[in-house]
Amino acid sequence: MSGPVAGGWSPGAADVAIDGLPARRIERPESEAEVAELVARARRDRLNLVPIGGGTALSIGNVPRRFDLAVDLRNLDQIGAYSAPDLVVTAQAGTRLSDLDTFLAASSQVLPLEGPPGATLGGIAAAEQAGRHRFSRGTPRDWLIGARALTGDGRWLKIGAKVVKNVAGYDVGRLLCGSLGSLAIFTELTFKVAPRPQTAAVWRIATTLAGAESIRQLAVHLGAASIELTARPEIAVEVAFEGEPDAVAWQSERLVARFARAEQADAAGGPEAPSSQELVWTFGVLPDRLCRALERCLAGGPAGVAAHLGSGIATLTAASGGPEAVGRLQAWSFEIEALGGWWRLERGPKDGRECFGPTRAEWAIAAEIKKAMDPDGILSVGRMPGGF
Amino acid sequence: MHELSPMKAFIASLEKLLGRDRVLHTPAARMAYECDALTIAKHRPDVVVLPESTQEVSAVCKLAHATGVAVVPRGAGTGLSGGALAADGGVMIATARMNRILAVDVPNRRAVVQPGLVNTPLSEAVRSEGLGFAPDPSSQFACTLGGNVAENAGGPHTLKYGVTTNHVLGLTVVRSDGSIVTLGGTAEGLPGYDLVGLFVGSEGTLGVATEIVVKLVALPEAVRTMLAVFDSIAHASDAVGALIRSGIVPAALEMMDNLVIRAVEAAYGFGFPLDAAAVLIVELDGLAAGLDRQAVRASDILKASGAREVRLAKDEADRQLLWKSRKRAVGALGRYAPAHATQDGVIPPSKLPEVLAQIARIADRYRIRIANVFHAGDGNLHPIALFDDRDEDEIRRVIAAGGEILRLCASLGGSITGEHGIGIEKLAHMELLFGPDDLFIQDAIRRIWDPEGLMNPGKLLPQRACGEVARFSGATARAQLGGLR
Repeated sequence: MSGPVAGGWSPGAADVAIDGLPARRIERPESEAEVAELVARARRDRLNLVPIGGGTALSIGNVPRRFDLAVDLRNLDQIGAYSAPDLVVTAQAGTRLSDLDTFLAASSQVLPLEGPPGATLGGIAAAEQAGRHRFSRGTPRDWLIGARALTGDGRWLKIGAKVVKNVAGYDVGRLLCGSLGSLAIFTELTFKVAPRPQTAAVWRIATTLAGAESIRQLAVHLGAASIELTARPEIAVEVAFEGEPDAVAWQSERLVARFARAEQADAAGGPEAPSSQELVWTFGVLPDRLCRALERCLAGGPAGVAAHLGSGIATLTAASGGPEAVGRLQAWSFEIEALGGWWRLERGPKDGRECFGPTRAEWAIAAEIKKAMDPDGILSVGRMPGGF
Repeated sequence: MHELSPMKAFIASLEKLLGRDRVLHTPAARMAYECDALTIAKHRPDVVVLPESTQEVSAVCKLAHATGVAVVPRGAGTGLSGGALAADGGVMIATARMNRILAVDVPNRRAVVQPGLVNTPLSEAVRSEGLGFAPDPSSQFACTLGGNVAENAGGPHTLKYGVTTNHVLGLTVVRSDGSIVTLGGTAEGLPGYDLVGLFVGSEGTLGVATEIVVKLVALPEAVRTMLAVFDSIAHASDAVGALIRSGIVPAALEMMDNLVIRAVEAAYGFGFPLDAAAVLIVELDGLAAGLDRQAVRASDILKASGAREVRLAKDEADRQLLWKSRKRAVGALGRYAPAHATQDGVIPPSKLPEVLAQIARIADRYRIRIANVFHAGDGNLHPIALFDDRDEDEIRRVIAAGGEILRLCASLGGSITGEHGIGIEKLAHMELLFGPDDLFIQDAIRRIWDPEGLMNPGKLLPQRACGEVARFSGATARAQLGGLR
């Protein structure tokens, strides 16, 4: 039997599941009107509706109690208005990030966000996903300038505008980025875009955790585009420089002068597809504490690491994810909280457990916002930190 | 003994809390707080307090909440949309004495500051570390970080570096009931809704920020600043599009028209050609390597678009004078007319040629003079109406022309404000951008933070249904504006 894949699903698969909990029904609307009908149905029948894109970030979130209806938005995949001289593009929520990238490349522009293969614009915004460029270019919150979205009580919102600067009213677009579809369903998004860098150079340096910190410091100082650490299990840091050819050459020289063992690598890839590992745990600390945090976490046993060194965010993975992983998670969260950081459990013994920490007072305000925008409780209920 | 009026009793409680010297309630003392930089709307707060800590702000808000008195936060009062106007009186919380830098974390490029800290001193304090705070509104020598957060302030260099919301990671906020909550923090990527992003730009309606965690940016290694001179506004507008299409993102890309050029030349003597129809200030920054080549490319593009001359700032002093001319341009316009009103709208920059032509036609139609000095690269217009504020008819025409310009911006998919905020000035224009459902949701969000409607009432959202405790609608000042409309 080909069961649903926990946390992710292959395009075209009939099943979709969140943490092993399969959707009781999947709908694939082809218009905004059909999305509205589905929301109306969910309100009428009190369904827990989860909007879905490429399904690449479904492992982020608490385990919902019910998963009645998956609304797969990938049929809403049209790229709409685009004005290169205004650095603005509008596309439907189900548009794949890779398709938009191909489209923008024709005009030598880019939306500098990354997602695993299949990730959609609505999905990366709803999950506030950012890849290696997070350090130099920010996250969807920094690039989303407008949207159309449908709230849980069926109100169509026109968020923001099609210009890069706008301070009219509350920034509801930022609020929706990272809301995991719990406040409103994106149907159309407008992003600011940037010129595509003329040149890029990626340098790979084999190192230790202690050595990684000094690479990070130099790379930050040189103005790197991304600084990524991997441990599989050998530790290596990849530093990317992007921009004017002269500048990239100068940056590369300085890096190599200090770290002679740096080797030029292929163009840095995007984030990997969801890990097949059983235990996936992400945390964030101040950037200069990240290597120390990793040392402490790895002291309790080996784990795979993928880290955004410039931003202080890392994902740990391990093969064993059952109840025996609980002790490990406790040790990790203890270390990270002691360093003033936050964490989230993406895969592992999630059931019945708060998958985000440490608990924050502001989540109570967030819960009230959820009630205001989804009063009937039909959108991605039970997914957010705090369990609402 | 006679009983004190509720306001008098409230003031007495404030004095007990803060001491008499930090509670201002004489008419003369309150006059200094009767308006912000939107000077056509004036209303005095009933009392002004000068707290020095989060706890004191909290205590003031608790008292105000218990008494049903409106709270109006205020930084330096440089806001241009009336956000710091005590629209219906109440207690004004002036943050002037909360002006310290609490912490600087150089390795992580963070600083924690109090809301009354002025923008420029923050950048000055970290300059020796090679860092700075990116948002640089023209009022940066006076405006405060708290005000920057409330308004989501911008400035010329936001084209490359982003506006305030891109540089704030965490906030300590006092809510209308006096409770204190921490939003965000110093680490990136915290789980949950982006309440920091919601708070930034909320114009004092969700609470009072008492501590702000900001990101600092590395100062560029090198800077090249150019002045491009044009004989026609259309050519200058075309050049903006040509530059952006070429893949160059300048750190700043500013336009000034002839009226502005003549005023700033008289004031600062930079050497602007008085006969130019428009100039562009183009600043490129980054690593020294390759910057000159980029500057040559930019210069070629500007010339190909019709610039008759492209001048490179000779040295840092020359560059500083150029920026001083730009940032103080609005003040220099004082020589043309007794009063001026700066409008703030955003359009796609590719529409600049037709929009500037339309603005000129609107000025003709309303028989007013409009000067243009603005952030061309992101399409953030600042048409400045020059008028006589003793002439009621002219004031009416200025307001009507401003409304027409905003309708034009909205009709092109733009915004009615790029960096000045809605405040009280643009309440009536919110409907150009938002429908009833949008406004309903925004109002619902506001009620979560401030159910009684005590926090900077009468701002940002039109027509708020009144609560029982307080009936503050901003009626007084709005009537003043409305009477002129």
